[in-house]
Amino acid sequence: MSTNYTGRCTCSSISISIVGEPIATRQCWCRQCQQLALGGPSNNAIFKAEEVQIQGTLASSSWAAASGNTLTFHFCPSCGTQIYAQSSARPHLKTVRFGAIDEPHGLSPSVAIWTEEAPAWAIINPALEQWPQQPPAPPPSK
Amino acid sequence: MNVLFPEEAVHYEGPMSKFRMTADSGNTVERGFCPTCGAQMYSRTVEPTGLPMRVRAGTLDNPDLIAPSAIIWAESAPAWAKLDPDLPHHPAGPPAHLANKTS
Ligand SMILES: [Zn+2]
Ligand SMILES: [Zn+2]
Repeated sequence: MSTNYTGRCTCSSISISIVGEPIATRQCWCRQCQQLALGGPSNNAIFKAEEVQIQGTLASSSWAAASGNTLTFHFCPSCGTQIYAQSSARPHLKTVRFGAIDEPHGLSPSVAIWTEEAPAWAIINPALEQWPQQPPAPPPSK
Repeated sequence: MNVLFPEEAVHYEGPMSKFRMTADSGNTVERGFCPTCGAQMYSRTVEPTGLPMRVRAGTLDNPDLIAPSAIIWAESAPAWAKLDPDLPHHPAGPPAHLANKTS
C-alpha cells in the first residue's frame, strides 16, 4: 500500500507514515485537549491502528476519560509535540493529531465534540456537526 | 492561544522540559512543556530579549478569563480554520506595538 500521509514533530525526532484514509476527523474542545493543545481544540484524524507507522521513541501519559475509558496519548519527549492518542475501548484505532501531519494534507475536521467545555470566546464553525459531549463511536471499519 | 505576561510575573513549579528552536519569525524561542504529559506551558523569546512571555491559555485554570484580542500568523492557518472576523488579523508575527504589549 502506498503512503497517503507523512508527518513529524517540531524537532523531527519522530516521523509518521500513514497508509489508508481516516475513518473520521474531529475537533475536540474537552478541557484536557485544551491543556494539550495550548488553549484551542485538538484536531484529530482517526485511522486504523495498523495503518499508522511511527519512527522514533515516544513518551506517553494517560488520563481517565469521562466515558470511563483510559485515553493514552503519545508525544515527543524532546519537543513535547503530541503525536497520537489511543482509547482503551478502541485499541484498533489511532487518533493522530493534525499538527503532526505534514501539510498540505487536505484534511479538515468534520465534527466538533465536547463543545460544552469550549471557552466562551471560542469560534466553532457552525457548518460542523456538533456534540456537547462525546459522540457515538466511529464504525469499527470502513 | 497565548496570554502575554512580563516574564518576571510568571512563576512555575514542578519539572519543566525546555526546547529551543528558531521560530518562523527568525527569533530564538524556548518552549517549556511538562515532561510527563507533554502539555506546552509557555513560549519565551531568548533572542531578542525583553519580549513578553506567552503563557499557553489551555494551562490556565480558567481559560474563559481572557479572550484573544488579535490573531497572528493568520497566513499559516489551515483553509478550514474559522478565525473570529471581529479580531485584527496579522498575516505573520505581531507588529512591534503588539509584540511588546503585555496586557
Ligand atoms: Zn520532537
Ligand atoms: Zn503534565
